[in-house]
Amino acid sequence: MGSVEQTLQCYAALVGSPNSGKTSLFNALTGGRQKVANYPGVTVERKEGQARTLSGRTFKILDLPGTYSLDANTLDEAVTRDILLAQHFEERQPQLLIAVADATNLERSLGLVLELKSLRLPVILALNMMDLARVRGFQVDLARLSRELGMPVFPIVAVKKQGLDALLKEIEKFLSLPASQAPELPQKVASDNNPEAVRRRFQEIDRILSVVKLHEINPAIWTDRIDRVVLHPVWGTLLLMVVLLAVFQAIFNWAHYPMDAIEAALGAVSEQLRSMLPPGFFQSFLVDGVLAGVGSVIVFLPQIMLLFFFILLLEDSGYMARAAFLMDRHMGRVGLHGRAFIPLLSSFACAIPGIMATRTIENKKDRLITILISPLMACSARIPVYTLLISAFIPNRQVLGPLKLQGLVMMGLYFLGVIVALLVALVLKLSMFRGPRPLFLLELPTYKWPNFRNVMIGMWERARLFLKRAGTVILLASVLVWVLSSFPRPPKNSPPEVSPITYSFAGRAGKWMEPAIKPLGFDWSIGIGLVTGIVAREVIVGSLATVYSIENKEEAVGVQNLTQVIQQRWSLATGLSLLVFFVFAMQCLSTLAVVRRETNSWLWPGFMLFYMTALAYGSSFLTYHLVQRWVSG
Amino acid sequence: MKSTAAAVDVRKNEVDTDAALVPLSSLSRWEKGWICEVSGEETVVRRLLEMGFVESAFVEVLHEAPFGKDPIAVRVRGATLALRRHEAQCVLVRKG
Repeated sequence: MGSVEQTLQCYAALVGSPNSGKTSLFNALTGGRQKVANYPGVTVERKEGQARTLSGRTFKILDLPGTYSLDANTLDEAVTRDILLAQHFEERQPQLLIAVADATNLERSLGLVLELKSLRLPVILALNMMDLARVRGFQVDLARLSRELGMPVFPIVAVKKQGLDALLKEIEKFLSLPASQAPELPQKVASDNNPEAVRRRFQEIDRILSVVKLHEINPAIWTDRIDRVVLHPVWGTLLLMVVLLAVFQAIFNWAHYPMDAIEAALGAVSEQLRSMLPPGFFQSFLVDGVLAGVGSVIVFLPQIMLLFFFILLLEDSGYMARAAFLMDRHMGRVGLHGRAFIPLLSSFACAIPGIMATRTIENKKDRLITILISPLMACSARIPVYTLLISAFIPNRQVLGPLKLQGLVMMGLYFLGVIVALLVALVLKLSMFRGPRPLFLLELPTYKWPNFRNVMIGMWERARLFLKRAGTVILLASVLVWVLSSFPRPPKNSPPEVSPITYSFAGRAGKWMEPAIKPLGFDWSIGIGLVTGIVAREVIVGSLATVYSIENKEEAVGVQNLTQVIQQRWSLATGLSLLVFFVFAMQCLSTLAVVRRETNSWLWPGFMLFYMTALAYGSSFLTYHLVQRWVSG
Repeated sequence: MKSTAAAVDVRKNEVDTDAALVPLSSLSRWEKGWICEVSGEETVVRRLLEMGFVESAFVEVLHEAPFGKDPIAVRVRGATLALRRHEAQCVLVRKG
């Protein structure tokens, strides 16, 4: 048997509770060499990486989801348990377990270690965050602990890469065992998890600690001090508001620089292509189809990366759990989890990073509800549409002091989205997602300085996942819409004042659906806008300009002209009806693509499309008729 | 039983008979006690146990969330844990 085959065989798994610093150890051992995917059929993230021993031998590491026990309470735990018990239908059972435990809190973290030991797989214990533990007066007889647990124990500081050499040496020792001496893997061990077993484990921890502990660890004074402010009913709430305001200001204000740069670069490339290629089918396909599609994918990246930068920073420092604690009451009223509010707030920038951020919600039902309502938050793609329609139909008169009507209407649209989203959550909770209230039971970890490297790695992971998972669908959809709005081409004798798009499939679809949207006060030209706008909401602005044949190179003038045109063409009722339609309608293929990826099924994006369309149709209908009645007297 | 501890024991007995065990959910900020029983729905109980709410552990309410004082943050077995009062009903404590 060659050594190559043997090294390929070896497969270690990292197991630890949330906040044990498991990810830091994984990053430290594997560097950037990691693969992120989902376990087949579920939305649990699977992280695999390759590490190297000191002698250069490589082995694979699987980073199992953070878990407090092998009980199958959550999806994460179920996956971890199945893999460790060799019951997972696709994953191999790891041959070596590296248990990661928080040294500052052995009373708690040893529980999982004891549970792992009962599986009779080889286990190495990495006692992480030793630096923080020592500062707090931690004194433990490590040799004795190792004897009591019956496994090698290594003190490490994962974020500083301290103690890793000794750990790797031990792994190497295991790797170089000849195949005959390698411990035989147990088959189908049942894990014992009735309440009594849990109680016994804690008694065993107390017994072990009573013999190995030389000095009691001091309480985390700083964490307690900070918490007195952070969790204070008044100051804590104020601080949370300031943090959120800062995060979202940063996303709105900073993201547009890279976004503008991306758009400018794409504009330059498309100009280049236009000048290099002869006008016609191929040029249009490349520029308006492919390049525009690529653009609509990568233009999301700055927002996604910025949002995750802040989320990871808040998560790493320990603040995120506190925020969930402060917000849980409000979210709980409509049946949501305290953790749902960050994804929902992120959705104001864009539903896509928001939906990706729902991964922090453990409970599957809670997560689905949060995903389903997040596109109702007014994302930044709605801003151009809102701006156009408001400036065309809402007079900008002063209402109250410095407040003007246009601004108030804009704010009203945001509130409308939020209120309806919360109502939808409540309805879903009382109907489809009925069931026992999910547990809200989470650890408020000690505060730590976020590790820059870990934050960067996490940010890149998100960006890569988005490009890989949603990017392809979005690109394909954009090309498809280009085909729909370019074919069939206009006949040779078409009058020049008629836009070529009216002859295309999209144009025909607009006309064809006119009877359906007439009750909302929409005509076929809006229909075309709705069809093309399914790629992304703001596309409707460009489409309308095309339909009304506004050929103007200067965009500002173009939009101004468009405002005048729709003012003349549409009634007030139509304008307001379309405005309301955009608050609720699922006009975003990218979101559907991400929901499909995150939920691993077509059911939920389908349901989302259905309920949002119904909502949009109903409320537009009401708006149109109410406004008409009001105008006519 | 040592005579020096008798006075304390008498008081403790009174508490035992009067207030006896109270659910953790009824405690306010800064109140503390020993966990005497964890019972209720099995999945909740198992979860609570796993998180360290085991019998004979010392528990103290450190914080109450704004608006309705729910959820609460408690110190148990060296960690701070947040939970809703609803779940905290399963944890019976002897105040001390």
